[in-house]
Amino acid sequence: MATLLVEQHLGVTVVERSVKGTGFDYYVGKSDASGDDLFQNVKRLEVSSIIQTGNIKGRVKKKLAQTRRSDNTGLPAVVVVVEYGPPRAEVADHA
Amino acid sequence: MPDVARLHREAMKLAERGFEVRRHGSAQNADELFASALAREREAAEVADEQRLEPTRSILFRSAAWLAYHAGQEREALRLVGRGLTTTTPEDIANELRELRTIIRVREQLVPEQPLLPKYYELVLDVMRRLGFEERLIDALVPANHPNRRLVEHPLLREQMIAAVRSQLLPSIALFLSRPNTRVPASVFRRAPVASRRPAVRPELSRLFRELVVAVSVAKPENVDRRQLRRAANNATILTVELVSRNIPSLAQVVAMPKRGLTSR
Repeated sequence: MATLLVEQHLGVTVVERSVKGTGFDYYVGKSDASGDDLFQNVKRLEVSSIIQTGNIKGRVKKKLAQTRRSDNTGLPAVVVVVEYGPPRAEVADHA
Repeated sequence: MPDVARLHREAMKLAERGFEVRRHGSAQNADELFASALAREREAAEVADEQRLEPTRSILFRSAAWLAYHAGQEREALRLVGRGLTTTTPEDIANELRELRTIIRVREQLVPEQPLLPKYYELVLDVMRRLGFEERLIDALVPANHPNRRLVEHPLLREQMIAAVRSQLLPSIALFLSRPNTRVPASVFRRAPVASRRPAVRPELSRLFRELVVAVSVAKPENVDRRQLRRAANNATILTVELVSRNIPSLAQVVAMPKRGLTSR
């Protein structure tokens, strides 16, 4: 769902992934931008979900704060939070 | 010079198959797939390192370190964590590399290095199936009166959790049974979030694990020393709670965050 949303709203798609924990970490960018430099001009896709109805804005704020924590040396990120109750979603591009 | 992108993508395809195979309970085949993925990802990381491509090199070393962990090569995983950590490593990737290093070190405290006997996988898997171990473990951790009980009753979520219990706990339980006198340091127990927040579930976990131990003993008595088994059963609660809290994040979240609802990345 997150990948469809970022494609629709930000015009980017998942171009790379890497292994982290028991699954994959996803990176988004322009679909024609991925060559040998792999992760050079991409943004990390941060996905979160809320099953029960809750504060979606608060979750987005929390996720953005997590990405800001490493602003000086960290990777740019796109945050997507999906709430399954209504359902609805919030997309935030944190360059 | 090797093609970094090609090596990396081959590694990811192999890793995907590794996770898939592990979900279906074939740990040995999964280890082989992760080892093949590791060989490619490590080579890609070394080439990116030579080219000083950041953040590509750090991401590839982190990915390779996790692949080594999944392949059961924990020494190699620690080495790759060390290779990934430099002054140019982005802070968030550096934190994730340190996190993996902590996981491996805590795990080493729990389970001393010893080659895992493949026969225990099949044996324990068979016994777990017959006992309905995975379902009962979930029910013990998230009982009927738990605020998030309805989440674990969702068929899709429950199916995922059963698969997670099977794939994450099976190797550790098999290893634990092969070394039943393993001691868990008290400090590790105190840090386990599930253990500290829901002490009421401990007796049920202990009973469940004892049943598993007895069933294994009956299935293959020649493999197991009964006195050691009793000791294993006595330590079972601590080990089970620790394993659950550490290795099954989705289940640990349901148990430990009753007021916030389930979140997942």
